[in-house]
Amino acid sequence: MNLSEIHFPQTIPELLTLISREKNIQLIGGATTFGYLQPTRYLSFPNTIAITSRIPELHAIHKTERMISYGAACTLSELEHVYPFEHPQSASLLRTVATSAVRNVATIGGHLMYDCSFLSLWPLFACLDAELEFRAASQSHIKNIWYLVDENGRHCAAGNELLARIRIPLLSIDHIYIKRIGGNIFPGGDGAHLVSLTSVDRRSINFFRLVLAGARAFRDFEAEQRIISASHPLSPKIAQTVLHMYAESLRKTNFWNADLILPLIGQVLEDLQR
Amino acid sequence: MNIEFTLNGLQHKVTITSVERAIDVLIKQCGIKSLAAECLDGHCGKCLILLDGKSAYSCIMPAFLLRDRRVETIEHFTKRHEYDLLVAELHRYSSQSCSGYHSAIALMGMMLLQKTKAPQTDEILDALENTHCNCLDPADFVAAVLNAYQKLRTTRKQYESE
Ligand SMILES: Cc1cc2nc3c(=O)[nH]c(=O)nc-3n(C[C@H](O)[C@H](O)[C@H](O)COP(=O)(O)OP(=O)(O)OC[C@H]3O[C@@H](n4cnc5c(N)ncnc54)[C@H](O)[C@@H]3O)c2cc1C
Repeated sequence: MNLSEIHFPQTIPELLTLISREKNIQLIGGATTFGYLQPTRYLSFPNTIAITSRIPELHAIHKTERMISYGAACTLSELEHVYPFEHPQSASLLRTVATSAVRNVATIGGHLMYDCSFLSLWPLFACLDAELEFRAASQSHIKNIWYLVDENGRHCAAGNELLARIRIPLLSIDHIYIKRIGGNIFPGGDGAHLVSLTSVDRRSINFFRLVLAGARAFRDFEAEQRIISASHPLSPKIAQTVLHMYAESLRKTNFWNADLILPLIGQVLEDLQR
Repeated sequence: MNIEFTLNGLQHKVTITSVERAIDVLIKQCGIKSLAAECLDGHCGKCLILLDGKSAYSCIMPAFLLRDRRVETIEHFTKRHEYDLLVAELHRYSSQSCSGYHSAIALMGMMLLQKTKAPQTDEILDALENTHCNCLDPADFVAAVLNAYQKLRTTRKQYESE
């Protein structure tokens, strides 16, 4: 039985000092993945663990006219009434994550940094171009959430860096399409979510995102560009071309079950044609 | 390490290590009888506690996360008038009595009755979902909680006006 040293830092600098001092440190949000994934009576952690949830700054939610930002230790339940979860479709997506007894404890930081697969809210945050603020003792940097995806579409969480905040630009979204496909999402499995967001300005589409994420994440930037600035309703010709592009790149990347996913992408495009 | 937390209104001081689950500390060190550690993955719901007033599974939670928190189990409520009222409503609405999940269901009911605003149907169904109980009809649980809430409010109003 490996006993770990437990730290409850009260401030970000205190936590960053710990991270730089301890090589083998594990950050803990709500610890729901650890408790769930270890079937044994006794839990096991690396030599040093640091709990993020006692740092007030990591709980703060700030909203300006242009963006919202959440501290990484906000629980999923705390996000229930804020952007983008005031939209009924996103709210339903949030409620599919386990049960409220898990969401009351699980943090958004732990949800996005779980590195075995892309959990349910990840593709929505990717569609919204969420930016992640990482902090280390010597530096801090802001990266697009897509930075967590390696070239094979797998999750590549950054070692011992602290995810401090998640920033999301506030967009007015006209169409949201969210569909769950396949089996389990957590702890693993062939389940995935397809999330697509569109906004329309007058009669043209000025924002379009379509992200698929489960064991791997997929997004076709070129196909998205084709749709942006196209007229709304979408012409059948563009819809066909775009669908073809998705089909090509899904097959090229060998993404899980293209045959199942293509009709769903077709449905998203059909929606935009109406 | 030594941690302190409030359990059912009383301050507790316990010695724990990183390997212990919250449920084991609550049962073995604090003597809580209403919890059961059957699944260790939050699927049976028999380990439900209230953590700072919100539901949580104590079987997937490391004990160190209890530090400085407020924990309640059903033992905290069983001597209260609200509890008797809730149990009576549950019996009235549900022909099936579910012994295995009784503590978890009653705890979720008590959590909802503590609210200052009447709980919404979604919220009540969410709370029931935490218990993973299949024998109680969700509509019965909703009706029982809302009725108990209403009765409590009426009693409180009468008490205030006297
Ligand atoms: C019973 C059950 C059912 C579930 N069902 C679903 C489901 O249907 N859909 C779904 O999507 N998910 C599901 N989950 C998974 C759930 O979403 C995650 O367990 C939860 O979001 C993780 O959050 P946490 O705070 O507990 O993370 P933790 O377990 O504390 O941490 C997870 C990972 O993130 C790292 N980490 C945590 N915080 C930070 C930070 N600030 N910076 C850097 N790294 C950090 C940790 O080191 C660890 O590697 C389920 C979980 C349970 C227990």
